[in-house]
Amino acid sequence: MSTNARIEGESTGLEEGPRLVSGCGLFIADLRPPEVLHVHLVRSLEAHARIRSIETPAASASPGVVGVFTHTELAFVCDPLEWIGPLPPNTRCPPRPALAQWEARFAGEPLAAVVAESVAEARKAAEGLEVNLEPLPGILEPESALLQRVPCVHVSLGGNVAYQFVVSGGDTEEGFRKADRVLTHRIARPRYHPAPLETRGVVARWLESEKRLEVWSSTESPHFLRAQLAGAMRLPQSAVRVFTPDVGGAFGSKLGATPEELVVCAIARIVAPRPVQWIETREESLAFSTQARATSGELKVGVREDGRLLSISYDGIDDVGAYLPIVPGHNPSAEGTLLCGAYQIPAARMAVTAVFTNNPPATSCHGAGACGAGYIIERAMDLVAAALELDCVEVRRLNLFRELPATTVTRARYDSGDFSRLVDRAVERSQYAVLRHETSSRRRKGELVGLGVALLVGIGAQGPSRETGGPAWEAATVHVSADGSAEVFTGGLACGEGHETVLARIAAHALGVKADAVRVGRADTQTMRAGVGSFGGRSIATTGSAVLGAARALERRLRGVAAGILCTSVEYVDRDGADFVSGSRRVSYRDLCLLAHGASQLEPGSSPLLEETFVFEPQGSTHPISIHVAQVVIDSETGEVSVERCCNVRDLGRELDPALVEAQVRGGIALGIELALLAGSPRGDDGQPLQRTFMERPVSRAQGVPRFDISSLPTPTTLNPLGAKGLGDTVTMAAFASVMNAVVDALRPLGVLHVDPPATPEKIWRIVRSCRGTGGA
Amino acid sequence: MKSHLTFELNGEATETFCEPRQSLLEVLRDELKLTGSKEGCNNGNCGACSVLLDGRVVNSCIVFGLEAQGRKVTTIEGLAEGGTLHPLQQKFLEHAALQCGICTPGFLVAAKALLDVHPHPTEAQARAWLAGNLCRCTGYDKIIRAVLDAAPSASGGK
Repeated sequence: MSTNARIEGESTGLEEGPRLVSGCGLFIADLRPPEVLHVHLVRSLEAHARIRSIETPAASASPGVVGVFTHTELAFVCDPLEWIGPLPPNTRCPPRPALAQWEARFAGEPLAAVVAESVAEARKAAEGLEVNLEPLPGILEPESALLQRVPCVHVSLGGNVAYQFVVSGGDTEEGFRKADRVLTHRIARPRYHPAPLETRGVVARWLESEKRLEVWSSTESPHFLRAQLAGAMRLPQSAVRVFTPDVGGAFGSKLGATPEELVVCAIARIVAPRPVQWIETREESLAFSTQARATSGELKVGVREDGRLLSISYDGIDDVGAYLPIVPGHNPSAEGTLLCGAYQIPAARMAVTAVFTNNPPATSCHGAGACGAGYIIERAMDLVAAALELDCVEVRRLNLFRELPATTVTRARYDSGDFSRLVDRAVERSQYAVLRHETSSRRRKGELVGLGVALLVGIGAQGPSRETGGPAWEAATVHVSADGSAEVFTGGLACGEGHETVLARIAAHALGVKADAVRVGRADTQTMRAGVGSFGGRSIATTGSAVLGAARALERRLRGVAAGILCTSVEYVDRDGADFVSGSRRVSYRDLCLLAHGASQLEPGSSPLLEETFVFEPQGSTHPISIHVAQVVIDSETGEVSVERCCNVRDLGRELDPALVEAQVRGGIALGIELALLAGSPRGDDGQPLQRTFMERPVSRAQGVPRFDISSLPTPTTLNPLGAKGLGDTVTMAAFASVMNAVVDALRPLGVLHVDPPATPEKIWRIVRSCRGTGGA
Repeated sequence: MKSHLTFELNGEATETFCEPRQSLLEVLRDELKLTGSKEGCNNGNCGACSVLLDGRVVNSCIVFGLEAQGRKVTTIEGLAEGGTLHPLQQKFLEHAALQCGICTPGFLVAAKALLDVHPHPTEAQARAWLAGNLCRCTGYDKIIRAVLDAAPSASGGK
């Protein structure tokens, strides 16, 4: 009987589950170090302003206040945050100060920090701070950033371009010339904040006797945070230790160091030995924190009369806000490679100019890379279908790659999967033909009902590092103690994906022990000395493969020790359950671990340390695939869009724990619907945020989410030993794009060809009203 | 100036001092060091701080601590009895109804309030009762299933 862990299987319950359902999860705001001081940040109320003066005496005298800090005081202990490592080509990343020095570049940029015994006292004292700002003209619309004689967000750069990339293949112009029809449309996606339920937060402590900084942060990338903080704090990285407590969601908004983290570290150094804590308020999170980039541009598609695409191009402007958020492995051009999606198109070109504006910094949230391109190509498919009066599934089928592996004209290589089968399955499971029929008959009765499809190819784990322009590897260490208990350390961490469960099972499987013999250590830069982080759907594919490699290497070593004990050679050592056997001789796993720790006594030169570290470097990017069918109905009186049906079919490669994957898929779909219908982060004409609470930032709630039909057609990837492609928000973006397509489909009888997200009731109501206005309705 | 506050917390008589301005959530987290109830928004929109006040679910971030004077408060820490998880907690684990876990305490407390009133809720009832709690990871589906599945055992076990 073997009860050893298998790599695959239904979850026996989340490893991290019991502590989380008992209220014992330890999130950053739950940390209560003794003697802790609290920070309240005073932020710019202007989108762009010269800082004339900040008068601190009144605030400093307020009860409970320990200190009030501006750029001047912090400059003694820290420099601005800088990019670590080589910048990607054609990229400019100005340093980002902890607290603004001369100029505030967005409404919400931190100007001063009040430190007090309690949060309440710090807030109260902040009211006494006199901030004198001189408003300056600013850049709020990305299009205006590129005009002549406009203000520069960063004067030192002499222009507002943050980065530019062009990804192209084939001759797009020739494609357009040969096409029977050339369709163009302006399409845009708004900026928004992904709004994880846990806001950001940080605790720092300076140990003067050791000259060491300890930092706890709700981050997705502890090692990058350490590198950036060490650089800005003028410390060697070895003097900075970053711990990560439980992280309450991130979605890309907790990558890289932010000024708030630096402020807290700098203050901790000044007020040592007392620790310092800052917990972001919901208002700060929604209004001022790192957001998802806005993008807008011109889509152009050349198509033959029979529906075959000959050429596609997108020429767009992205708004990255006032600073380029410092993101490890930041490679915006990855998006361009996916412009062809699942389709064999002879020519494609994506050109993006990203500009600085006086808006909050913005980066990739929800599906780095795939998000923009996947949406663009799936809108293009529907524009083609509408123009040629073809069915939207037919147009997709006509253009699909028939067989994989295949490489798109923009050099994205899809190693595994079967697009046609995925489409067939989605058509079958959603009863597409029946839905189409139903849609037509309901339309005849005057209902605004629509059906949308989207086939998304995403990026899971990127690689290899030499091509991605940033670190694509991940490291893992597996350690076995003398009593046989094993620990796994990696550079990644979980923000709700269940890594503790899955990584423990991978290690246990390779070591040949039960899963409960393995613990996964919390992310800590001191126990795991190198790492990259958890983002973009890379964790199981990359981190999991590193864990597998380390555990396999350690198992080989254990076999070697067993061979010595069993007086045989290693190839004759077998496993029976956890035990090591050779013929009739046997040594239990536990005894072996004990003996192996004393191995140096048995065999000179052998190490008593039962530990292996493995670095996994992906040889290519994995491409998870997801197809989504959505049916929506629009209330023409209120403009409200309701999603009636959702059907999702996915190929995420091998699914190590289908229950955990399904959980993320369901969550991803709900989020996709939210992005389509609700999410946007509007700002007023003066750059002021209009969303400060969950009253203004609409989010999906238990009542508004329909039941989903989800299924899986996995084909393992060959790019990592686990066969996993990762999620990478591919499902989210498929749901998002299909709902947008369904909304447009619902409005097509009114002559509508495109609607930009979010399809809010107000926007839809206005569209319906203006279309019907001429008809007298 | 701190006021004296006595109330029943998770079945035990409790006393503490708090400022009149402090919310019940602040009293629980900052004064009594019970950090199971989470702050998600601090204005009653997300439900992460849900507790039961005399059996009714409230957002403890918008209830003053002093309002609990002489009343019964149940928090996530009071759901398990002895070392045994409440059936709802058990079902949340079985259904993988949590991911990052920061909304979970609030959902469990709100779900308990639901089952206390409607031992066998319909799906629509469950969705309506839990519409005040935000989850950003799961899409709610698994949470609703866990709550519906917990219904018979929760009422039976009580």
